[in-house]
Amino acid sequence: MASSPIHQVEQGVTKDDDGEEEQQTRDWAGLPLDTLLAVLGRLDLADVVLGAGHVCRPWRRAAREEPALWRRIHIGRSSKLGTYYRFEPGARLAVRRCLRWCEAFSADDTVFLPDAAPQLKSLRLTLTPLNVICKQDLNDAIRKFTMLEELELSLASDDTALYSSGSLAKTCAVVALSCPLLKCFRLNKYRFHWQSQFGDDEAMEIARMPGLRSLQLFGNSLCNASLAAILDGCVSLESLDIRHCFNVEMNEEMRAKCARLQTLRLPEDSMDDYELSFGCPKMEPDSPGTPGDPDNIGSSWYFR
Amino acid sequence: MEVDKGKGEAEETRKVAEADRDTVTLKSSDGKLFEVSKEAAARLSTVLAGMIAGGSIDDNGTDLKQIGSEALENVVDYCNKHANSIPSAALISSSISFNTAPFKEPEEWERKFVDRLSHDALFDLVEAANFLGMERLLDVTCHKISEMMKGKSPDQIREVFNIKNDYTKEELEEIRQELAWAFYDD
Repeated sequence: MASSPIHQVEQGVTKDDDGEEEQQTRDWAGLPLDTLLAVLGRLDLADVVLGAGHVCRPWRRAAREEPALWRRIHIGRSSKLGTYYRFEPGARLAVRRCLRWCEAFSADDTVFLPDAAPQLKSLRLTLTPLNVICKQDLNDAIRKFTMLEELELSLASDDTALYSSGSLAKTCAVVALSCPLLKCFRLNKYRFHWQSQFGDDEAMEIARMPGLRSLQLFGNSLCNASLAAILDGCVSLESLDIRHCFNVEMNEEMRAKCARLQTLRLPEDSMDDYELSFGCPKMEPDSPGTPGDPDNIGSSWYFR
Repeated sequence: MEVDKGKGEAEETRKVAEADRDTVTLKSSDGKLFEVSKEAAARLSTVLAGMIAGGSIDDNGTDLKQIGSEALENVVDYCNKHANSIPSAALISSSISFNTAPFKEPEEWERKFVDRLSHDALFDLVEAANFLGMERLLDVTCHKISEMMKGKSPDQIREVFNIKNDYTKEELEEIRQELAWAFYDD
């Protein structure tokens, strides 16, 4: 049989999912830099740090030297970098190298805290039981984020023991003190609990964030007086979401206070566009109109 | 005189017709013509939106010299499919919002759309999407590429994309040490 022409030897032959052979002629290593950045910028941090960032010289150069790539970092659910990050100094080093330039960081269900990101303007964390960020670390990190404009701390389940005994109020106090530029704040509980006292403590700290324009408090137990304090203290507030904050009673006085807001979502409003998962509210047992509660009321007080 | 006037009128008529048309014609590097919904093109591509607004769309086919016919066919196909699908609420963002949200997952038809492409076609489509400033198509194509890289070591990625290992021995050793915690521990 005649031998193949030389140029075909140089072409790659890979098998696709169906096992069919496919000729590859494009030079992926030679992707123009802006296209390469568009591709790498959409990968999970783990996939760049562990794989794509080392594939060839141009890709490695881009992954290490292009600040644009790291302005926004998102770490998805169950990123395998998480385990490494906890136990391997090498992994922390690799992540920190990326964080230098980070302006917006978000993570679902991970152990990451971007404490080496001096430029951070936006931080969104979903806190889970598996999360090993301890509240002291979180508060210490937030003290460094003096440029922060957006902050989300959302609890993803009842069992977020980390935030027992009012530590979110302490975190709010640190935010109020350290982040004068904060415009958007989301502090979302997993579910409303009528008996929790922590909501009011958190609200009193939030009332000390005069720059806030947008506030989301899902399932918070704050009462009318605390909400009034927020409305008085946050003079620039334009948007407020207090869905599932069932201790708030929207009486005439409260409605008058809220009249200046451009957007207002009330405790009973539809949850259709809510992005996170949430639990069935624990209502006061004797209150009229208590929604059916499949869970055992009275157990697990620690999550309040 | 008479002829000139006629020409002018024809020019005028053509311009009016152009403004009224709800499609635009694009011409690939190899001279093939494609029709695409004007609305979808303007909505999905910042570059085409600029050309349409600036009147630099040619009725006889706007030259896109950087894009081959196969890639342009995919671009046009994507635009037309998009024009027929209901825009997802997720794509509409409000003025005061968190801007760190990762890009939205591709919808089912978008996934199918990129899944059928060969590696070469995917490469060309990413380049075209980037050239035309098509954020959403970039998201969808890059999502596909990232799926092809997910969980893979540099070696495995090189194999998938047929990329040559161009490092020196010393550089390879440096990388090996840097990633010792991940792949190279025995």
